[in-house]
Amino acid sequence: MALSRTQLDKLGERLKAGTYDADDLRRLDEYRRSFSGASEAVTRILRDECGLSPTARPAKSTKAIVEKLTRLSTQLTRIQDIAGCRVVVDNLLSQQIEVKRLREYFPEARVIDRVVVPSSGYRAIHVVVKHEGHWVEVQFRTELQHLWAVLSEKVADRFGNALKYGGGDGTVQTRLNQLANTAYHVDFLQVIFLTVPEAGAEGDEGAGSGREADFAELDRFRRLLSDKLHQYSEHPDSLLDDT
Amino acid sequence: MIYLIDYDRRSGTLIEMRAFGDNERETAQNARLDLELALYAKGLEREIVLLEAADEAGLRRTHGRYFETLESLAAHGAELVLR
Repeated sequence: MALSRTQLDKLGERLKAGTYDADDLRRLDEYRRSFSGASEAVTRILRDECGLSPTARPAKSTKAIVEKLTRLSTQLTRIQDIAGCRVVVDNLLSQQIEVKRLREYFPEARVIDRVVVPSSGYRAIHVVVKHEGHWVEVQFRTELQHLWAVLSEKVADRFGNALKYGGGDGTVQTRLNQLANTAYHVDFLQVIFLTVPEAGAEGDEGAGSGREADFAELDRFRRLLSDKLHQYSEHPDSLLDDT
Repeated sequence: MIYLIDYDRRSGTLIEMRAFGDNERETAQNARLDLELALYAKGLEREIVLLEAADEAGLRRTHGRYFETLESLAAHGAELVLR
């Protein structure tokens, strides 16, 4: 028999307090399995209707659930990303287009846009959709947003999990934020090239020099980002260097 | 394909990955629960997660954290940015 909301939230309290036992893990597993159908349905739409290549995570790991319950002091039944799905797209423009397309299938979806205002350096657009009473969170990331997100997770594995949420070593946090901002500049300047007309286009006589300047700026930020990444690949501990 | 990931955050390493067919969802879910219970009995804390992707290449693209070191991720990123 399915657990009631009250029973689930009591289970969440035991998970949060670290007082859970093997039976609680079985109960949590039963709850997580109830999201499978919704996860499958949303993944099918992303893949078959939107032509994307999503990776579905039909249920959050126990460790991640316990961390979220503790960090946000929330209830188990209020967690909206028990089921999740991740899509990586080329650039900011594609990101907006794909989010819009998914919303056509789920007009009631909640959109959490962390592109202009990031959360502890993390940029992405999350779309939380509901299918047959179950929430599924779809993460749309550009290549560079994704690169930063994966790198920051790996940095958090090495230098402390608190880094993912704005805590941990201040110098590492600063280095991650610098990387995130540089990556955003590259993403942003790339969109200019996708949307601004090329030099010589009718009625656009001044576009040429501006475009060259933008390209030089894009190239500069690309090299800056690449050099930093190269440095951290050779000397990861330089993330701790505050000079 | 469905992939069962056993990842150790402390060492940053993938302990094990098992693959299941798309029609083996229940078997994969049972395997996840069995693994979680086995680790709990041993007092071990690891990240156990099921992921579904078209193939392993797709999985590695979206969840590189489980497969790469910090050094290799940064090195691949440095190349990607200039492409």
